[in-house]
Amino acid sequence: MKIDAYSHILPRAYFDRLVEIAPDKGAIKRWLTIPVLHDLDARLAMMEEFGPGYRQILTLSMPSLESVAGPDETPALSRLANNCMADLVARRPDRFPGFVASLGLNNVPAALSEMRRAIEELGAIGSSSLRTSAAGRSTSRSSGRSSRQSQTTNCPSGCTRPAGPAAPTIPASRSRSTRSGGRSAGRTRRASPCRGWCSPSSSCGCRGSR
Amino acid sequence: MSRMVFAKFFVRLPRLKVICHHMGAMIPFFAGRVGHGWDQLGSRTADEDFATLLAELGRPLDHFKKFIGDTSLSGSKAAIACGLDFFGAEQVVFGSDCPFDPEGGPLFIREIIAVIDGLDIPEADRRKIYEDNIRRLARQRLRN
Repeated sequence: MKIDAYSHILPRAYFDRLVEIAPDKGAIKRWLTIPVLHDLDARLAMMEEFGPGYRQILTLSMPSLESVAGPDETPALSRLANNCMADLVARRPDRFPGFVASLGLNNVPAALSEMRRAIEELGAIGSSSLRTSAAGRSTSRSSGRSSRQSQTTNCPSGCTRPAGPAAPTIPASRSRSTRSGGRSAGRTRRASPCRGWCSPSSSCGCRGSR
Repeated sequence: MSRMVFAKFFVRLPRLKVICHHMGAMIPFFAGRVGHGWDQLGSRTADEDFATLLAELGRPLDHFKKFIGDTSLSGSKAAIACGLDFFGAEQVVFGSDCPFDPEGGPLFIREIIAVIDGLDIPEADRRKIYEDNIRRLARQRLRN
């Protein structure tokens, strides 16, 4: 048996919703050119070539949830996607023995409860992250919900952190970093503690206070 | 991957299993630079001192070896062999990235199967890549 652990699909109902809400219709158009991505019959016919022992674990395709919807919309969108995936697995377990849940990373509390629901109730075998950052913040950071409108400040060592509205600002020119020089001109640095992995001497001012 | 390693994901979540699409991208090919290179992280630059972080982490390379790679490298045999050498047969799974190939579905599957079938490895390892590893990672929760 050959279990393809990483293949992508856009279940029909989810795809229709995606086309409906996507802010950039041009970006959606390219998915239309690949029938097996959203046409289940075409998908199953394509899989015939590899015999009955070939199976696919399903993950959603790009675009990522958080790139098409804001933090108030991604929870419903991820529930729809995961329900569709579970349905595909239930209908054709001979071809799709499992799926990986999709989460809206721009709403972390909702993403965590959806991860639990998808794994415990729908039988997902894990969750996927199509991007390494959401709403301008790295997925390696772990504080609460962000919004698409939140400003971010780039730490020279690579961390990003949200600028809290009440946080005092320090002019970028006070940065000791030479690497961030030109790119940070005109920006402001926030003195709120960073929860990333910066060292206490870090020039981003975040003081590595994890 | 680097963000996760240096954010101490595998220190805080030692049982976390992360499958990296595309065989962990450049990490296996850059094993030397990730290894000896990042053992010295920050030691040649003036603005950051990562000695504390490195002391907490140990060798960054050891953390990178905790990821699992998939074979979705669009059919390059050398690249798959490189990833297999880096992660080991227990930590590589067959993955195709279907359907994002020029034929719109079957080409990557076909080519990657040909590469895996052609690898000079024990049959038991091939079986791990095709089936056993992902079943273990899914904790036997696959439906079929």
